Amino acid sequence: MLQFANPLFLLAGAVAAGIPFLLHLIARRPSERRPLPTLRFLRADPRATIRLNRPTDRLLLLLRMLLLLLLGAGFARPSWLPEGEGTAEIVLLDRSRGMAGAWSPAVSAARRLLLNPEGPSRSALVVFDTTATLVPAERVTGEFFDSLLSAGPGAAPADYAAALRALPPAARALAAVDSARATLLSSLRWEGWSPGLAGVRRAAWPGALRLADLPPARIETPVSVDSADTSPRRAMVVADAGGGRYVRAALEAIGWNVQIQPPGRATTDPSDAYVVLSPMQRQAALRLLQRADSGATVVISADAAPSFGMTPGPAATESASAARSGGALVFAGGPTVPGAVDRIAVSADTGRLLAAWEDGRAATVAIPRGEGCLVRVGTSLEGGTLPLSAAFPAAIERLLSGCAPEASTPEANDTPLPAGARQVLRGAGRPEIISLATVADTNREMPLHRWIFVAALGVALLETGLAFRRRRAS
Amino acid sequence: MSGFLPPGLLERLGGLQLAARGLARGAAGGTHRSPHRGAGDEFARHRGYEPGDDPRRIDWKLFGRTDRLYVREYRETSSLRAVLVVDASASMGFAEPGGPSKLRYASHAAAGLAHLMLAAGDAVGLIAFGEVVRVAAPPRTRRGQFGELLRQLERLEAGGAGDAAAALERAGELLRRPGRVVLLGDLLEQDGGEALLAAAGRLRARGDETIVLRVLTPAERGEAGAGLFFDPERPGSVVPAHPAADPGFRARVDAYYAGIAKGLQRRGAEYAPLSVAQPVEQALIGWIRGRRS
Repeated sequence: MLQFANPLFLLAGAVAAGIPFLLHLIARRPSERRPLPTLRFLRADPRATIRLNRPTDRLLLLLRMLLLLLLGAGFARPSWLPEGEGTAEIVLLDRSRGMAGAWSPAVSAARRLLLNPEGPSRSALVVFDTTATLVPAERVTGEFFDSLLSAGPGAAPADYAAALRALPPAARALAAVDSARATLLSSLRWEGWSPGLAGVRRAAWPGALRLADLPPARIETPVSVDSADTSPRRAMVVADAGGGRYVRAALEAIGWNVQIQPPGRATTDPSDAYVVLSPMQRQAALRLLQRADSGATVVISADAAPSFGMTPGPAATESASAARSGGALVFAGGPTVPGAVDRIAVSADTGRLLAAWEDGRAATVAIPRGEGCLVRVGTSLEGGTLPLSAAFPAAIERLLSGCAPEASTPEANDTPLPAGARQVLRGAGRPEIISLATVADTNREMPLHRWIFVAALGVALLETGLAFRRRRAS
Repeated sequence: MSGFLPPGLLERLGGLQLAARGLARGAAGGTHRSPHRGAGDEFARHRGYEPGDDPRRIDWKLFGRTDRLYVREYRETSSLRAVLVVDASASMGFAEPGGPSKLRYASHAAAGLAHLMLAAGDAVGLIAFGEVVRVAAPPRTRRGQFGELLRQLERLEAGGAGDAAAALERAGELLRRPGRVVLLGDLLEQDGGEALLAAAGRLRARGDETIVLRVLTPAERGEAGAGLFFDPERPGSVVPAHPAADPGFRARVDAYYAGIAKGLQRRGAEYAPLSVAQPVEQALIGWIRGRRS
C-alpha cells in the first residue's frame, strides 16, 4: 500500500502541472505570414488558424508537466507500507526518578508489548532517563524484565529528548520488517521536557507516539536527618477583607501555618514569612521591613509595592487583549504559572531573578535585606486566574524561598506535562504505524521520494536541453 | 562568380547541343541547319545542271548511270541569335526552406543554356523583367560574353509584378531577324497567361524559335502545411489556408499550367516544366535529350 506523508503536495503538483498547459495555450506563436506565389489557386481555410493556436512543441509541454507532477509527488513523501508483514514495536521505557509509583505498571506494559512469539527482531527496547540506552534484542527476555522490575527506577531526571533521539537507531536495529510503532511508557512530567523538544520530536519520528496512561508519581525527596526545625512554618498574609484566601490555601497545602491579617492591624505575631497583597500604612510596612532584617521573608505583590517605597515598573507593552488574557510567570527551573494579569516588569538590578514573564522581563526578584529577604512580585498574586493554576502552591513556595540558595524543588518536577505538551509528544494527526523508510538515517535503500526527485532532475535536464535546441533552431 | 553556379553544372552539360528545331537564318558557320543550300558539308540533293554551275559539282557517277548531268547540292549550317528572358518578378524570389529561390534556379538554367549556345557559336543575350523590362546584355558571340551574362544573372533580384509578354516583345525587337527566345519563369501571370501566349504566337509568326521553361517549387504545388499565406506580388491580402490539406489545390495549379502548355503548343512554341527540387543539370539534360527524340 502506498502511503503519503504529505498528500496535499500531490494535489499541488497536479494543479501546478496545469499551468504550463495553460501557458502553452495562451502564449500563441505570432501567426507567421508565409509567401506562396500560387496563392490564387488556394481555397481559404479558417481552420488553419486554429491549428496554429494548438499547443506547440508537445514534447516540451509534456516534460514541463511531468516535472511539476514529479515534484509534487516527491514532496508528498510517498512510501510503500507493506501489508500483512507485521509491525515491529519500539518501546521507550522511562526509568527516571519520577517513575517510582508507575514503575511496575510500566515494566508490565513493556513486557506485554515486546515479548511476542515472532521473535526479538520485531521489537526494540530503549530505556532512558537523562540518556537513552538501546537494549540488545537478544537480551529482551522475561528474565530481563524481572530484573528490571526488581531494580526499580533510577535517581536521575527524565529527558524526553534523549528518548526521542534514540528512536532512529532503534529503528535501524529492526531487521526483516518494514513498518513500526513506537510507545512511550512514562508518567509524563515537566521534568522531562526541554526547550526545542518539539523540533526533536518532529525530526526523530514521523509517526505518532503512543503514550501509555501511567499514574503520576511523587518523587521521593531525600530528607536529611540533620535538618533542624521540623515544626510547621508560619506565614502571615496581609490582605484586605476577602483577600488572601487563595494564598492561604496554597500555603496550607504545602504545610505552612497561615494567618490572614488586614493591612491596618499591627503585625504583632512574628512569622517566618509575610505575603503582602494589599497596600498598607507606611509604619506597618516599616515594621515588616524590620522583620525582614531579622530573618523573615516578605513577599510584596504589585498592589502593595508603593507601601514599601517601591516604584511600579513599566506595564506590559503587549496589546490590551493580550494583557487581559493573562500571562505566565516562568520560574527558573519551573513551574510556569499562567493566568497573571497587570504584569509589571520589576527591576532586577538589586536582587536575584526568581521568575520572568514570557517575554523575558523580570517578574519576581528576591532582594536580600539583613538576615531576611524581600521578594517583589510584578503582579497581583490573587489576580486573574493565577491562583487557580495547579502550580500556584509551588509558585508561592518558590516566592517564600526568597533569597535562599537556589535548589531544585522536587515538587516542581512532579508537575504533570500539560495537555499541549502531551499533544506535541504524541504527534497528533500522524499515523501510528509508519514505514521505516521514512525514518531518518535508517540506512535502508533510498526512499521512494528521493528516487522521484532524481527522476525530476532528469526531466528538468531534458527539458532544459530541448528548450535550448528549440531556441537555437528558431 | 565562381560560386554563383552549382559546381559541375557546365561540365555535366559539356557535350550537349541545343540544336534549332527549325532552320536557322544566322551567320554562316554555325551548327544549325541553314535554309540556304550550296557549299557545305551536308549533302542535300541532286539538281539538274544549269549553265554557270561549277563543273566540279557535277556527279559523274550519276551521269554514267543516267546520261544526264546533275550537280550535287550541300546544306549550309548557320549560327543563330538567341535571347534568354529571365523572370525576375517578386514571385520568383520564393524559395523553400534550405533550397534555392526560383530566380536563382532559373538563372542557373539560363547560364547552362548560354554556355551551350555560345559553345555552338550562337550569339546569346539576356533580358530580365520584374519591375521593368531590362536588356541586361545584347546578343553577342564575342569572348567574354559568357562572363558578362553570368555577371548580369548573378545581380538579378526579384521584385515587381513582371510582364512576360512585354519581355517577349522586347526580345523579338532585340533579335531583328528570326532567332531563338528562351523564357525562364513561373508564368504566374495576372491575366491567366493570355498576353504571354499572344506574345509567344507573335514570335513564332516572325519565325523565332520560342522555348518556355516553367520553374516551380514543390510547395507551390501543394506540399505546404497550415499557415497564413500571401502572394508576394500582392502582399496586402493574407489568407489562412492549408495547401497540403486542400484536395483541389494541386489540380488547379496543374490545370493552369496545362492550359499554358496547350496554348504554347498550339502556337508552335516549346514548353517544358522544371522543378526546383531537381538539380539544374539533370533538368536541362533531360529536357534537351527529350526534345531530340
